[in-house]
Amino acid sequence: MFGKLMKYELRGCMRIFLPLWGAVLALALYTGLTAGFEPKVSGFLIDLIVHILPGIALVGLSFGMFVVALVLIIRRFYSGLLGEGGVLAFSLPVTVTEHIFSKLLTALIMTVGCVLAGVLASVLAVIVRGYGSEVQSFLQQAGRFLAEYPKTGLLVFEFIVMLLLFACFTVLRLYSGIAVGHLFPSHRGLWSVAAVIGIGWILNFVSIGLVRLFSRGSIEISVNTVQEAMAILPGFFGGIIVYLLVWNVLMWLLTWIILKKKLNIL
Amino acid sequence: MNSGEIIVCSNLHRSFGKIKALDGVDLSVGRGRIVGLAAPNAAGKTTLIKILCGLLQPTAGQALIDGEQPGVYTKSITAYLPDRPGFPDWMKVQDSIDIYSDFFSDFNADKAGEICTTLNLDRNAKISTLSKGTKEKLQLMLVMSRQAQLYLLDEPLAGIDPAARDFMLHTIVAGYNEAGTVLISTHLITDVEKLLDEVIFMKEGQVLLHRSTDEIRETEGKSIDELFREMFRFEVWKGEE
Repeated sequence: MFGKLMKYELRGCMRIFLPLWGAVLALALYTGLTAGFEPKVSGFLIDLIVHILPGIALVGLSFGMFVVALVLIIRRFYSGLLGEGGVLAFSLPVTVTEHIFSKLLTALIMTVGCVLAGVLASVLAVIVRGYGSEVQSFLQQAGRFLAEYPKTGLLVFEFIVMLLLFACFTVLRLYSGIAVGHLFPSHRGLWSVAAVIGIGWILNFVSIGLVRLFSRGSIEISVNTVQEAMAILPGFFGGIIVYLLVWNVLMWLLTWIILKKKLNIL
Repeated sequence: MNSGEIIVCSNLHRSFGKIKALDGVDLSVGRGRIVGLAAPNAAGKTTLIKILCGLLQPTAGQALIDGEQPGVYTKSITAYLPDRPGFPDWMKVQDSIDIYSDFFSDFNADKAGEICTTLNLDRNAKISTLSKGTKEKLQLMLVMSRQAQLYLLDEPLAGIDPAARDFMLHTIVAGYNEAGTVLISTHLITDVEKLLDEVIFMKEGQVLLHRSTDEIRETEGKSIDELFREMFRFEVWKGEE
């Protein structure tokens, strides 16, 4: 059933994101191609049409797609699962775990897709403008660094895992806040916002408390060389990963328990 | 066919703040029956159906379908017609058929297609562009194209013009699995009376009466609609009579 849920989740999102990502890439290509273009007729209006407006549109779309992703992540959970759409969703013979996981995975796919579209658009614009050799040189330098410091691969891997877990936590924090908000008979939106903020306060309180507990009030990390950084950072990142994992599990459990034991589709 | 009752509710309570929507409902419904759930507004009909569907959790007591609490199994054998359609705006008629086809093994896509043709429903039409009445017909068509063990129909005739009501009733009678049970919540008793084997009257979250329609007609000497009007007249006029 999970695969079937994902099919409809992705269909619902990709009808918006595929054109959006396509537009970002097309605009990046266009701005890259026209960067060095000098029209025969010059003037501010020509400059505005050929260079400035497409550039503004590219920057706007690049930020805009993340805003759209955030709105969709909230809306698909708030309305699609715990609002009007919940009547259909919770009539299907599907477990609560499958419901939450399908929403979370779709949210991650949207977020990662936006990041990849942004990165690809930047690379495309740079290459088309004729900076292909610079990109190549950067990649070669990165390769040499990786060969010299083999732990870099581990660091990059840990960093990506960290980012993914942080994205997961951000989404699950929204989900758990919305789930708490849906328990109320009215003003559910307001209660959801209050719950998301409340969870943020608890997170900050616990984080600061833990830092004080383990460091006795102060943290001093002294890193002078790349070798020292390579020795310290994997463990440091590992610690953050474990910490984020714990918070992800807590947010998941809170959402799961409410949806399983306290579902309140009005 | 499984034996025993399809629905069993024991001391079922559900409160919304200080309001008691259900107040100790005890109920058993057998198989192969068409049961009317009749009550004035805000008597707890929709709350009871939503608890049976697993959309709401009871405050106390329990509801069982085929001996199990609402969950994946009970949803697979229950066809639910909500009081309002819940399909996303972007979906087309065909998408709604695909969803039922994908998730319910007892869904008969051919039968759904036939009803679509009868209704002259364009499968490529967006659900959001359909009229309220057509949306309700679409929803009923999907529900009645299943061979479910339990049909929970929440106000299937509300907001439907009298001519379309006949179509809706015909779809229910022609479509349901005869070994299954149909629970129809309504206050338009005259329209459904002739279909019913049993009737349940609810008032202020409690079951006031649960009897077979033949028994009522024989012992009371009146139709179900007459009995309903008699029992709830005071409620409607709030003592002004």
